[in-house]
Amino acid sequence: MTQGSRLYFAVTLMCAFVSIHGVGLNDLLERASQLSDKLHSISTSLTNDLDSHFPPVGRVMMPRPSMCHTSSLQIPNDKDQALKVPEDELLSLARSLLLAWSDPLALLSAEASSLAHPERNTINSKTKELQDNIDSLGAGLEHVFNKMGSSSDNLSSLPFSSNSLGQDKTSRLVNFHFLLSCFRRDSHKIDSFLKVLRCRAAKKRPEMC
Amino acid sequence: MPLLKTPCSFRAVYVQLETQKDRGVNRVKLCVNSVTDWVADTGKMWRDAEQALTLMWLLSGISYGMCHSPPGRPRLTTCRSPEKETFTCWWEPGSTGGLPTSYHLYYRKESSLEVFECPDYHKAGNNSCYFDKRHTSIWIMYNITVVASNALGKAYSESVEIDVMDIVRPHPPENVSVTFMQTTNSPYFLVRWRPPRNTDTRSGWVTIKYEVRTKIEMSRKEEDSNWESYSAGKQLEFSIYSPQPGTNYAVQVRCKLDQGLWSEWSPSAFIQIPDNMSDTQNVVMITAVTLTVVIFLLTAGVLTVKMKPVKHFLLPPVPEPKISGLDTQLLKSGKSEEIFSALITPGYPQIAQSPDRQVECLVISDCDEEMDFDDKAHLENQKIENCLIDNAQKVSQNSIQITLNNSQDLNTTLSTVSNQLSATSSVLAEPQQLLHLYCNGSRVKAQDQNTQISYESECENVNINPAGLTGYVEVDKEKQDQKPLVGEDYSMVSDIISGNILVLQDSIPAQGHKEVKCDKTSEAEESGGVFEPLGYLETLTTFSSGS
Repeated sequence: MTQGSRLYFAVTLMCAFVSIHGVGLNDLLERASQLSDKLHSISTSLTNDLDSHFPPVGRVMMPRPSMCHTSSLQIPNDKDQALKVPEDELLSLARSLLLAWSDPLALLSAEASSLAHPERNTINSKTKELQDNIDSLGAGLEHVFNKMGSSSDNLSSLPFSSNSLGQDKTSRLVNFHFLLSCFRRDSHKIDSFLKVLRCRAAKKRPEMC
Repeated sequence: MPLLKTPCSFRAVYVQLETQKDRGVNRVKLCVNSVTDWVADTGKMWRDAEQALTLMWLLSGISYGMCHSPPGRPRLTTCRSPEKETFTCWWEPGSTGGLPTSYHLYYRKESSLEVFECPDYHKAGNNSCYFDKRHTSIWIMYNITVVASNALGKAYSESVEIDVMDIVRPHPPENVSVTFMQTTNSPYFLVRWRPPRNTDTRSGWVTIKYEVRTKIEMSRKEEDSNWESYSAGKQLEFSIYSPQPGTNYAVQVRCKLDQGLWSEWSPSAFIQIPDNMSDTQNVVMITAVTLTVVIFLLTAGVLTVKMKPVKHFLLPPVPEPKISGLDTQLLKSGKSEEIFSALITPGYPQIAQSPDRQVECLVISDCDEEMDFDDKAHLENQKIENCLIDNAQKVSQNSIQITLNNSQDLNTTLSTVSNQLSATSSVLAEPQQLLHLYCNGSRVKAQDQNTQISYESECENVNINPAGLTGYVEVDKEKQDQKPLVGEDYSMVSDIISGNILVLQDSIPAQGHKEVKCDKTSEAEESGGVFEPLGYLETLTTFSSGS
């Protein structure tokens, strides 16, 4: 029995070693880009599902996009600016954005099942999928951060204060839609930043871009 | 009245009034009348003209109101960003109102109230606004309005809110070319293209993905086949294998950036596949298949005709075990008496020994030797050891257990043994193995003729190992009151030495425990024959594999 447990321990060590040191930065970033791409596409399809039966009054009631809780974060707004940002700052922007959404997505996930919308079930399952993917991506980006070996970990804090979407059905639906649109935009930002990072890390392999 | 006809000048009228005051009154009056009339006439004329003019004016006024008006509302139709760095918006003008109308586009950025005007109205054509790199920001909402204005007023379009990330749609790929590659085994045609212009695929700001579709161009219009699409990833070429020979293909490519919208399909590229492709291949294939089928049929036929010999050749029959005297035919017939009579032969029952190499040797002690307890035990152990050593050295699998009857002559015992051996060997259809037992005084030497194994042991301990026999032979019981060694009566066992040796208790209390010696007949008779007169038999079972 000791032989078996020793073997198991050795295999675990090897796997851990390979997973931390053996996997290159390129592969980590490739995997992270795939996850962020998936996040954005799920949020887009969720938005389309919500739009299919959205009350017109909701569009009037919808808060402005500048009211998203992540709007205070300073991000590059065009390609030239984005390409000038150093890598660790790009990574920390992506991580800050991702971190800012773990609480709100939990709230969305809790409220999805009781939404006043005919596509409620699809919305619920997709929201859960979003939550899972966010967790995986967060873990992956931590690996990337460790691999990049930058000195400081300057994550911006973007607190999300509300803990409920609203009192009545319509306002809950509208706020759900609004939060989702904010998330969709932020997931596109994360995706773009990670893809720039991926291309920069793979200097010798232009097919990665 | 000539005055009417010719206008009377005013002076003339006055002169006439001065010279001929009385005579000319009438003339003046007449003149004046004529003038008045004239004036009245012209007035009338003027009045007519005025009316006409007013009418005309009114008419023209009306028509003027109908042809000219403030402009109608324009409508923003689409906005598009081909590379996520710039974007263009187009609008559709409303009615112009008959007057030259000018269009202006104004926009506001999210979270700012400042209004800007379109930076470039001309680059993208009529009714468009081109936002260059400096004026394009992504992840910011643009609120865009188009204003149409002419001399009579303005009209505002509906405001449109856009974010550049939602309107990304590239131009189609360029320079699509198709070439046919004829290789011997797998012909294919290769589609190649270039990325759309102005799209930066090197910095990672956008990730491009392509899609190829092909269609067979039919000469007959009614039978238009469907497009087949293939996803091509990020590469700039694509191979399509096994095209239909003799057909004309049309190929198109399109692309998209990240999660954006697909571009339009590129213009078709055509290719003609030649006719005489891989004919020889087909012929070879067909002949091979036909040959295989023929061979298969032949084999099947042969098999069905010559079933048995082939079956024997391929799967030789396995010899079945047979019990001597047991006739399967008899069994089938079902007559039990005959079966059982056939079964009972000298030397039956013969129990097949288990295939694991069980070596059984009997250790019989001489009852005449008188030793004390310890010595006897020691001797017995020694004998056991000898027996064990002998067994370990032997090569053949099994041995035959033989009980030696002291009272009998060794030769007769041996003859009985050889009879049994012959009996067993005849049953097992194996060549007879003659055993020779040499008893030289107290030493017995046994030699197996076939395997040339010889044993030497004490006369009392006989080990006969014929090779290849698997019979467990139980010798005839000479004396009826010989009881089996232990049988079901394990109450006589007092101890077990080394797992396989049973020590039987001697019922004569004087000799104590752990007595393994046999006793004399006389003593047995005295004690009542609980035990065998000959002696106790120790059965030693050892496995030659070693335990």
